Amino acid sequence: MLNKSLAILAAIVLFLFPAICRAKEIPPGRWWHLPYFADQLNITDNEKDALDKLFDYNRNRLEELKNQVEEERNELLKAVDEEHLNETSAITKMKKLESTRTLLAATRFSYSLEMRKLLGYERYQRLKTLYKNWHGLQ
Amino acid sequence: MKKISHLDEKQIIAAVIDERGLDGALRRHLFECPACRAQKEALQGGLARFGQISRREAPLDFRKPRISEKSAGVLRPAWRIRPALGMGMAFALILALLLSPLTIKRDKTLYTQDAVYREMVQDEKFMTEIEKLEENPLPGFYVDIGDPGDDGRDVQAPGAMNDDSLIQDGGPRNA
Repeated sequence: MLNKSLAILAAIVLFLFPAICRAKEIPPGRWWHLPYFADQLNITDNEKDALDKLFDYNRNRLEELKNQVEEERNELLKAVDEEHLNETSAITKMKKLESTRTLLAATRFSYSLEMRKLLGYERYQRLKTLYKNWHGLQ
Repeated sequence: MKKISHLDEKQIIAAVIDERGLDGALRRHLFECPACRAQKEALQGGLARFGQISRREAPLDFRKPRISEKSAGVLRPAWRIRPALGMGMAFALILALLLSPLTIKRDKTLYTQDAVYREMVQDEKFMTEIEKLEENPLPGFYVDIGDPGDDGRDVQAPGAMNDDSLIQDGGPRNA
């Protein structure tokens, strides 16, 4: 059952991989509070609130998953470095780590996805163009 | 029945001040006798006019201060009756203002550009860490185990194999 779930998750991530790679096409942080973006994209106050909530939720979740990945990685390394290697235990830990890593990728992707939904096609495309031409974070 | 004569001056004054001060027979007489009643009303009217004139003509400093009904006591504001209650109300009002959606919204609009920039820089670093973890959560050493290009040994592609390697591997010497 676990293997099946992992395989499905992995398939989703592989399917979404190009989209995940594109995540850097949108600016980091709360860009909607900068007039350069907000004015040109006509971001309303309600949208700013929604984006704030989305950002807070997503970054908190990513922080949790990041800590979880690091913890599981340490457990795996400990298992591998033990003098008397328990192969089954090491493989289980590896699978657990892979599962969390997949979840991490999916959470990161969901942020871009929600933002795309909130802004709509045109404004999302325009955001990418604006970010390309922006010289704020150099 | 004793016949009562008209009221004298003192009795008329007493009737003007407070009719209840007269005895019953005198009151009844006052009620029935138009002459006595007229005398009493004339005195009453004269006093009333005198009061009006005196109120109108008296210098401001000598006038009786007027106390409005609102400040007379019954409708006095609560905080003047109980200062602690007033302080409590003020505190509750401040708290309500601080917690109101309007205030919270105003706080949200206090994102300065500088703060947004700083958060963007931090977020970019954070997201880079996330990406690295996504790519490979294991330390470099474990990643390098599976990557023959980084282990320091010179591994050649099959097509580029030289004869020496073939000899060492036990391949055909006489080819």
